[in-house]
Amino acid sequence: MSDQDLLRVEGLHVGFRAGDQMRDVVRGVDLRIKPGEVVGLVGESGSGKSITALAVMRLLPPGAAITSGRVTFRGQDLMEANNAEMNRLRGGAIGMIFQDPLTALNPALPIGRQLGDAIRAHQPVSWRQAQTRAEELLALVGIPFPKERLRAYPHELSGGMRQRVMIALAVSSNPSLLIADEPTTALDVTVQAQVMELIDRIRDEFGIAVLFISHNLELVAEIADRVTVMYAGRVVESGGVETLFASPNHPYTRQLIRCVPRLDGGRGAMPTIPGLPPRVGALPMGCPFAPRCEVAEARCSAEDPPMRWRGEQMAACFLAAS
Amino acid sequence: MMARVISACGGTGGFIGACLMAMLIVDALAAPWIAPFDPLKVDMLNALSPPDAVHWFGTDQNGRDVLSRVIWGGRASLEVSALAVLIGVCGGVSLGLLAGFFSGGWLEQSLMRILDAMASIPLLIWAIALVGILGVGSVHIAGFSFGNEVKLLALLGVLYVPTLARITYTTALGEAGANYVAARRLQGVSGVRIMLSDVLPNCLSPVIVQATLLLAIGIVIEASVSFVGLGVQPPWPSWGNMLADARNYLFSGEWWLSVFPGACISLSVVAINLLGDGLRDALDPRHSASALTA
Repeated sequence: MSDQDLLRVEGLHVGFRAGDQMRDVVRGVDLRIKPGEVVGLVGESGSGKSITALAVMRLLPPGAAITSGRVTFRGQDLMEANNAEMNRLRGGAIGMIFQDPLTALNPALPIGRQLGDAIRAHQPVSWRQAQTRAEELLALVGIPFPKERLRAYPHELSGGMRQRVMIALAVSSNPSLLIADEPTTALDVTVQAQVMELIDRIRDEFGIAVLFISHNLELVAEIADRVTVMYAGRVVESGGVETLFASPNHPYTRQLIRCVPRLDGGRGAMPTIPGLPPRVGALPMGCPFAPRCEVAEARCSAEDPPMRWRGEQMAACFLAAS
Repeated sequence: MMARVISACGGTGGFIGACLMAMLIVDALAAPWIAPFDPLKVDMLNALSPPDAVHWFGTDQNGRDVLSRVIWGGRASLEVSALAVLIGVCGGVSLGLLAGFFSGGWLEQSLMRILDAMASIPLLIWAIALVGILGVGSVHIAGFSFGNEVKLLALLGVLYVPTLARITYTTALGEAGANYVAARRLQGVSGVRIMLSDVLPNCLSPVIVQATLLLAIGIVIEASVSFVGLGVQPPWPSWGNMLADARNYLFSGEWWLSVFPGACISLSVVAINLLGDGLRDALDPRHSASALTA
């Protein structure tokens, strides 16, 4: 519990309106990011990773709302911040990149214009200065011929280039936190490696903290300092990347890690986790993972598991070693 | 070079349309210099003379040169329909954009319902009714005197608003939910700025196509209203009131009085529609995307 946390999310609940009641899709998420640190947020589709990120930015889709919890950024309570203050943070101190860089860029405008707009939304510079800055940014993210590229439209760039442009946009105002929501999912593997390298380099050069959201454990293992695993809107395990991968404490994490394909693994069927994540509104009693868990006991389906700490590592499971 | 120009107009049809349209615009802008005679100059001795080397399109019942009148009439037609489209685009695009971008509120509902009500009354009936109520004659505003057609073009412009607003609204509604808009918000760009600099450019291509087609409708309505005597007032020529005059000579053999202005109306409507269809092809994002990657 220190004040040096850059971002702190405590007990965050996010609900979607269903009829006249709210159904929580994020149910008590705690997250902590220190300056310059990379935190991986892992989970299956629908586990609430992206919604958590959008809740931090206070830009939830229509129908969704934060029902309880606290989000503080550099000591400022974001739940209390007004719209103007949030707009200063978005793209200012917090940058964000997305899964699909094509749809996240405006197809009708050249990228120089989009970069310029984003820069001028946060910095009192002239259009010309913004263009110079945009050119520097493109060079920084490794786009060749940046001056010429300023006039290019998104459809004229490849997927990897577009993601680089998105990264340039996200870091245009020297943020202290970068939220990367599945930044490589839409890219092929070689481009994915380049983009990961770029994120890593930017983090080193500028000391930007990164919240790296992914369903890809390997990528997270590669880049993150600490990892938080989510399941059905809840944090089931979190801890340092090495300890978590070496000795996962929660059965879900364990089973997930087993599903990662390995080059030296034997042939035959890939291991999978049987069953499906529970549907929102049809959550089982007790631990949400119990129906799919290979080691579940009777009490797992009866009461909520407690958070058990082992050093810096936390697992929400009765069976976790403490 | 030629091939690029043709493909920018959306094919051969669009190119022909664009050429005819360019001629019409030149005609409208340069009427005083192109027209061989004064369109108002009466020469009773030469009345109703058939086309010859001096009067290429013949003369009318007052001996006025039909070619000159057709040229000046084109100016009136284009002026009315172009200014009406301009008013319609300005009003329609801004209302549609507001309603589409700030959807889901009272603003959207009230704007769109008012526009629905306006759109439910046919254009031509509105035009005739209003000019009928206000009466023909010049309009005097702040010391300036405007011709009767100003009433017509202002009304026409207002009546174009619902159509154009609806088109902008539908597109803006889709664009407002697009990922890049969410991305812009996450970059901290304010709502109004996103609306103007991101959503607006993406809404324009269907508006451009529709505006072109409304230009054609405007020419027909101007001609119709002038034909019944509520538009451009004599002695000034318009294709519509020239046709009205020519009615009396339809069966007595003076064919040039009706053929030339009539052909001009048809030709410009065809030209504008060709251009509109061509633009639709040229501006279709799927179409242009495939052309660029090829």
